[in-house]
Amino acid sequence: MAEVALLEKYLLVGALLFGIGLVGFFTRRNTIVMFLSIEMMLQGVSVSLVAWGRYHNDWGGQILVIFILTIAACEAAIALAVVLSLFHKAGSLDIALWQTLREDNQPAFTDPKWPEPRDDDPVWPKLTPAGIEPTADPDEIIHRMHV
Amino acid sequence: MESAVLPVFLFVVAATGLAVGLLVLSALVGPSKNGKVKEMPYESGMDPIHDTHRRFDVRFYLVAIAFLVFDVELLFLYPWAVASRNPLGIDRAVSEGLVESRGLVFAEVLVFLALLAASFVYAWRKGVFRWR
Amino acid sequence: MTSETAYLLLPEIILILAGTLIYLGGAFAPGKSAWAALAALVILAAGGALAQQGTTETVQKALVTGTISGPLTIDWFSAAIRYGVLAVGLVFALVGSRWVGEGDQSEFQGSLLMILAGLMLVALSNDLVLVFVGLELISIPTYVMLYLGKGTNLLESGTKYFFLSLLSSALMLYGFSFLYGVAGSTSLIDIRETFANPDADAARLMSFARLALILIFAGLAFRLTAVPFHFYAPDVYQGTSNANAGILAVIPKIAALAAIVRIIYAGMPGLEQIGWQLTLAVALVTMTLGNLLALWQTNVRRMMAYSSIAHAGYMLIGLSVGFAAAGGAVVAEGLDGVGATLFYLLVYAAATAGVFAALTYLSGERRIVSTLDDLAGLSSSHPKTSAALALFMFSLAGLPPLAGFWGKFTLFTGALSVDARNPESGNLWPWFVALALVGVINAAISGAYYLRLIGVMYFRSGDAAPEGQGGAGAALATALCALAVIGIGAYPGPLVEAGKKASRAARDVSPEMLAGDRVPANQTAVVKPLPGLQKAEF
Repeated sequence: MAEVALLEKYLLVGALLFGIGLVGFFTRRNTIVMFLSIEMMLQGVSVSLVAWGRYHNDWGGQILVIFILTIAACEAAIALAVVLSLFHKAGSLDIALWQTLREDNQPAFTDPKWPEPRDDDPVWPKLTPAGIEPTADPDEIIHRMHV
Repeated sequence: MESAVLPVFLFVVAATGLAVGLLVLSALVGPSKNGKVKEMPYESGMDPIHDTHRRFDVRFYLVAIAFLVFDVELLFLYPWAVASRNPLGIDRAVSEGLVESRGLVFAEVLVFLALLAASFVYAWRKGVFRWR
Repeated sequence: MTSETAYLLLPEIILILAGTLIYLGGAFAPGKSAWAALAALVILAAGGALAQQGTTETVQKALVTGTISGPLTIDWFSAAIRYGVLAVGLVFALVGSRWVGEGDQSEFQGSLLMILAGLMLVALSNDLVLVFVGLELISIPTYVMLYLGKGTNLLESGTKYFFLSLLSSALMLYGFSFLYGVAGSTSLIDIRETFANPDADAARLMSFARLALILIFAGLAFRLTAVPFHFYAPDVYQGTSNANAGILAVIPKIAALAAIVRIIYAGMPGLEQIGWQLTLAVALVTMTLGNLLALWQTNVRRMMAYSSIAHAGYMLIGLSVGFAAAGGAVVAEGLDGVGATLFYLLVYAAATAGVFAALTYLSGERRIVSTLDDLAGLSSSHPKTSAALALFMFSLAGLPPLAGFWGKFTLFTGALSVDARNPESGNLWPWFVALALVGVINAAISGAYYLRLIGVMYFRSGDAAPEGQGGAGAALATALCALAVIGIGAYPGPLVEAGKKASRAARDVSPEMLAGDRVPANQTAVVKPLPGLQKAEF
C-alpha cells in the first residue's frame, strides 16, 4: 500500500522535526534559539497532521494546521517582546542569567565556560551620515540609554 | 496564437530596454565620482561590515511585531476567498444545509476584520507607529 | 455555523467583545478603575445570557439528552464549568479593581475576560480545533497578564511560564495529531465513536492512541501542575503579583481538568486501564511531593504554589477512580470519581482565590505581601482579613465544618469504594485503598504548613503591619470567597449532586447522539471534505 508507505515517511519527518526541536529546547540557552526550537516542534506537529489528513482524506488536519500557524505567530510576537525586554535588562540572551527565583538553599548555576571579552575588535568602515539630522527629543535620549 | 504571445514579448522588450537604457543613460550623462563610501556594498542603509553584537533600534522590533501578527492572521482570509467564488465552496455548503446562509459567513469574516482593525487602533494609540 | 451556534456562544461573544473594548478603551483612557467595574458587570451580563439560554427549549432539551450542536456540546458538564468559571472570573475582576502598578489595569481586565471566554470554550467544545483555540485563548492573555501589575520579579517569572507553556502546548498538539490520526476526524464525538467501535483501520492504529493519551496528558499536566510538570509553579508564583498568582493557581487547573474529561475520559473509551494507572501514579507522586516541599517554604506565594501542586494530586485521585469505574471496576452507588473531582475543584478554587484576594488586599504601593514574616501579627492589625485567611487555610487543610473537608471526604470515600463491595468482581481495590491512605496521610502533613501560617498571624508580633491598600474590591472578593467556603461547608449536598450530574453527562452517550440524528448544521461542514473539492485539491 503506497498510502501507508507515504504516511510512514511523513510521520517520520514530523517526528524528527519534533525530536530535534525538543532536544534543542532542553540543550540551548539562547532565548531566541529556544523559541525557534519550539516552533520546530510545532512544524513537526503540522507535518504529521497534514500526513494523517492525507491518509484519511479529511481536511480537519489541515484546518488545525492553519490555526496552529496563526497562533504560533501570536506567540512569536509575544516571544519577540519577551526576548527584547530580557535583553534590555540583562544585556545578553542567555536564559541562565535569570535565576533569582529558586529554592532558598539551592546554589546558583554558574557557567565555567563564559567567553572572555575581546579587546582586539577590528575597525570596520562606517557609512557617512546623510540627510537631515533629526532634532533630539530629551525623553527619547533617556529612553535610548535603557535600550 | 501570435497575438497571444505578442504582449508578453513587448513587455520583455520594454522591460529589458528600460533597464539597459537607464544604465547606459546614467553612465553617459551622470557625473562620475568614486569614493570610499560609494564603493561599499549596498546594505539598505546599514554598515555592511560591522560587529554582529550591534543593536538594532527598538522601533524596528515594534513594527516587526505588529507586522508579524497582521501578516499571519490574514491566512484565515485565503480559505474564505477560495470558497466564496467556488461553486463547490460556500454555495454548495449552503445548499446542503451545512451553513445557514452566505451572509452569515460574510458576517463572520467582517467580525474577524473588525477585530484586526481594533488591534490596529490599539497599537496606534499605544504609539507603535510613531517613528520618533 | 448557524445562527443557533452563535446564539449558544452568546456569553463567550459578550466576553470577547467586551474584552476587546476594554483593551481599546484603556488605550484612550488608561488607569481608570472603572474598567474593573465594567469587567465585573460584563461577567454578570454573560452569566445573565447563560441563564437566559438555560430557559430556552433547545437548551433544556439538550441538557437532558446531551445534544451536540455543531462544534459545541451543550450538556450539564459544560453548563457546570461555565457557571463556575464566571463566578471565579467575578472574584478576580474584583481583586484587580484597585490597581497597584503602572496604570495598565484595562489590559489586566481585558485579558481576564478573554481568559474566561477561552475557558468556557474548552468546556463547550466538541472539536480538537476548538479545544486548542480555547486553551491558547487562555494561555496568550495569561502571558500578557504576567508582565502587568506589581510583583517581585515579573519579567523572570513571566518568561519561565511563557517558555514552558509553549513546550506543553507543543506536546499536547503532538498528542492531538496522533488522536486525529487514529480517528480520522477532529470531532470529539466522532473520535469517541471510533474508539468505542474501531474498524479494522483504527484497530491497527491503536498503538498510536496510547501515545496520544500520554502526550495529551503530559501537555495538560503542565496546566494542572502535576508532577513531573510542576517545577515552574513555585518560581512563577513567587515572582509575580498576588492577583496573577491567584489566576494561575485556579484557571489553568479548571481548563486542564475540563480538557482531560472531554478528550481522554469521555473521548477515548477503551483506554481506561492506562488512564487509571497513569493518573493514580501521578496523583501519588504529585500530592506527596507538593506537600513535603511546602513544609519548608517561607514565601507565602511559593508555599501556595506547592499547595496547589498537592491539590492537583488530590484532584487526580477522583479522575483515577473515574477511569477505573469507566473501565468496569465496581464503585459504590452514588459515588462518582470525576464528579468528586469537579466538586473538589470548586472547593479548591474558592479557598485559593480567597487567599490571593486577601494577600492582594493586604499589599500596598510600597510593599506587596510576600513572606510569612509580612503576615506576623496580622490578627491585631487586620483582624477581619486574618480571620478570612485562617478560614481559607482550615478549608485547604480539610478541617471538618468547612468546604475543604467535604471535598476530600468525597474523593477519599470514592477511592475506598472501588471494587470494595464484592472483591470477587475486581481486584483493583488494593491500589485504590493505598491511594486513599496516601491521600489521608498527605492531608495530615498539609495541616502542618497551613496551621503554621495561622500561627504566624495569631501568635507572633510583627514590626510593620501590612498597608492594606488593596481596595474595597479585593476585600469584597475575600468576603465572597469566605462566604463560599462556609456555605459549601454547610450545604455540600446540592453541589456534590451537580458534580455527579456533570460527570455523567460528559461520559454517557445518549442514544440520539450515536444514532446520527444530530442537528442538521453540524461540524461536518468544516471537517468532512466535499467530494469534488477533495479530488481537485489532493
